[in-house]
Amino acid sequence: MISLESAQHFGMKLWLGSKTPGGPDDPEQRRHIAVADAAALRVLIVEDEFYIALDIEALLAGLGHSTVGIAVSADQAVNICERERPDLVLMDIRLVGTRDGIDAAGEILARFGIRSVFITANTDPYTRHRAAAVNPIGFLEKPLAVQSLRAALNTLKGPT
Amino acid sequence: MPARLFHYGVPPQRIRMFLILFALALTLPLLGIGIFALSRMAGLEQAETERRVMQAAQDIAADIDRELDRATVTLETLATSDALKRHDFRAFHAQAVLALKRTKAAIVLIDQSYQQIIDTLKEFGAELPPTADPETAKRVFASKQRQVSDLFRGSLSGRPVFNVEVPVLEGDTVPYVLIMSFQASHIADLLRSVRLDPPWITGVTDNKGVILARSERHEEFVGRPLPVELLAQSRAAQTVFRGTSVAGEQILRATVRSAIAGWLVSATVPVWYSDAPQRRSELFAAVLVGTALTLGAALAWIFASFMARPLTAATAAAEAVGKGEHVEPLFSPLAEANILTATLSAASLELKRRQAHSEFLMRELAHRAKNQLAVVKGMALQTAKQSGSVEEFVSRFNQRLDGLAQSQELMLRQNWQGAWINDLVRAHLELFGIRERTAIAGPPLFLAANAVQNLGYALHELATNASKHGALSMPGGRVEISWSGPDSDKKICLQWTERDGPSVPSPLRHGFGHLVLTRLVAQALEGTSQLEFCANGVRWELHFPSSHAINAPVTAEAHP
Repeated sequence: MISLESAQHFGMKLWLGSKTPGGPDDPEQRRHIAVADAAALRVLIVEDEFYIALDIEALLAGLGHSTVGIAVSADQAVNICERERPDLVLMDIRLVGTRDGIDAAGEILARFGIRSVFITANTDPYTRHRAAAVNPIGFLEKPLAVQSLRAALNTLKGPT
Repeated sequence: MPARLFHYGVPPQRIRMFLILFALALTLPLLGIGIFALSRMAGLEQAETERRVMQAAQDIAADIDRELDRATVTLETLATSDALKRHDFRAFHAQAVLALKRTKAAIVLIDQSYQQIIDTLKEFGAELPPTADPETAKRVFASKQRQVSDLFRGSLSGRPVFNVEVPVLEGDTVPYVLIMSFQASHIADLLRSVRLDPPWITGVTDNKGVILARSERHEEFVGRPLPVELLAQSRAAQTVFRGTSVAGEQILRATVRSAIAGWLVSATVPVWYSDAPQRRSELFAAVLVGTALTLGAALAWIFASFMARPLTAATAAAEAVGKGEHVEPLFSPLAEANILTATLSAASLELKRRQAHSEFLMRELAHRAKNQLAVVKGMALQTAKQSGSVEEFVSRFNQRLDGLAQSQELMLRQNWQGAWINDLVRAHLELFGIRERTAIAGPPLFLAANAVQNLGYALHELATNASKHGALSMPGGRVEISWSGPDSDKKICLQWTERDGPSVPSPLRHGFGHLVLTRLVAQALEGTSQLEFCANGVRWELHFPSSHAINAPVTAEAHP
């Protein structure tokens, strides 16, 4: 199962995707769309731990979705959204800097109409209550399981 | 120890009970003193009464003796009169009548046959009976001395009388006895003339034990024998004694003998009178005890309620704290209870705060644990991607986990707020045992948690490479690690420079390590990094915003 070449290539390629936007016409993306169970989504990952971000990126790729970038702060997330206009944002709540993920999700929703899925290890009810106010697609628990990620993404794809 | 009492099955008592006991402890000694003083006073009064009884008896005895002496003097004067010497009885009669002028007595002259020759109660020459009391006359004839009779009925008057008799001497013989005969009531008058309080009774009993005179109800008792028991007591008495009077009353009595007549002269007071001070003091004591105890208990009860209510409230407060409820401070008359409840209130707040804090910590712990699990998961995935075999994966993954653990350990020591950059660098170098050939230089900087973790990843990749393939893999190689404080751009710069290393191509030129050092760490810290491959080893430079450094950590240990 451990293929050094493909894994490295895979991770690097997707990471570089944040710098060079990969659209539906990107041949790499097309390959993944073919194995996805539904239409491919362009996703922004907001996560300040790169190991987690890379893991999520790999999960997304496995499901046939593309990552438009990885942001570590709220401001960065907003900037990438402005530039890339992803279909959705996978948002960590605790971020580097003064603003948190709920703040960023709120701004992204308001400015670009892009909804978020919160991926958090934070289970405190007050934070959940705050997060619910920005109309998230859902909440996912860390460590992220592929089934729950697929289910969350399918709810977004379902109505459209 | 009083507390030991409660080991013997005495149940715990309310403070009310202890206050009542306290009041008793204060009251009882005072009551004891009061009762003692009262009874001592009563005793003194009793002794004074006894002294007065004795005094009265002695005074009356003296009065009676004086009266008898006066009679004796009158008789002895008459006994030497010329008329008597001349046997001129008519003249003597007249003389005797004159001598008696002021006295309610009779003077009688008898001869040796006890025949009355004259009697002042009768005219001279009237026919006279023999004396009704020959025994006393007999003693006078025999003793040639003055004698006083006991009580007898007068031969003429038939009334109770007594005689004072003196001899009439003619040379050595006693042809006549001169008698002054008194009615017993004369002594009764004398007794009554002594002013005493109404309950006092004085009396005279003759040598035969017959009542001769009495200050009260004289006519009723005169001539009656004294009760046998009382007579025996009176005869034996040296001091005041208690007995039953002829009237059947309980009495306190003193008896003194008349020196002249040998009669028993008594002064008595009823026991109810003499004991009055004692009874009064007992009554006082009872009232005192009753009042003191009632008042003491009532006051103790009142003050106890001042204390008991706040204490009950404080107890309830303590129970409430035990149940984790909030407690308000109390404002009561009892300062200690107020302090107690204030402390309990503060404690309840503190408990609440700690509970909230511990809930926060639990959530935080859960958050970190899950986050770290996600990190470890990602780390495993990335390590797997760069590993050619399971063995290689296990080895690399172990190292990365160790590196992560190092960073965690440092942050744990700083209450999860971050770590000193110096400690972080040393920790990651020590993991590979490569401290000796490294030079570390830079100002003390306290990095925030996110920076610690990410810089830790970079240092781990660099140290791994240096010890396996770089400058530290061969003797003579060195590593210099230096950092500078925030520059004008508010950036912190850290440099890793390997010197005197091998000139072989570094595996860091590609692969995951390359990605970490060129992109991931810089990206995570919102900074920039540069990885260069020089002839003698790797050179890495990282610039990141100084916002990742906390200048004054809240609970940081002082940096050495």
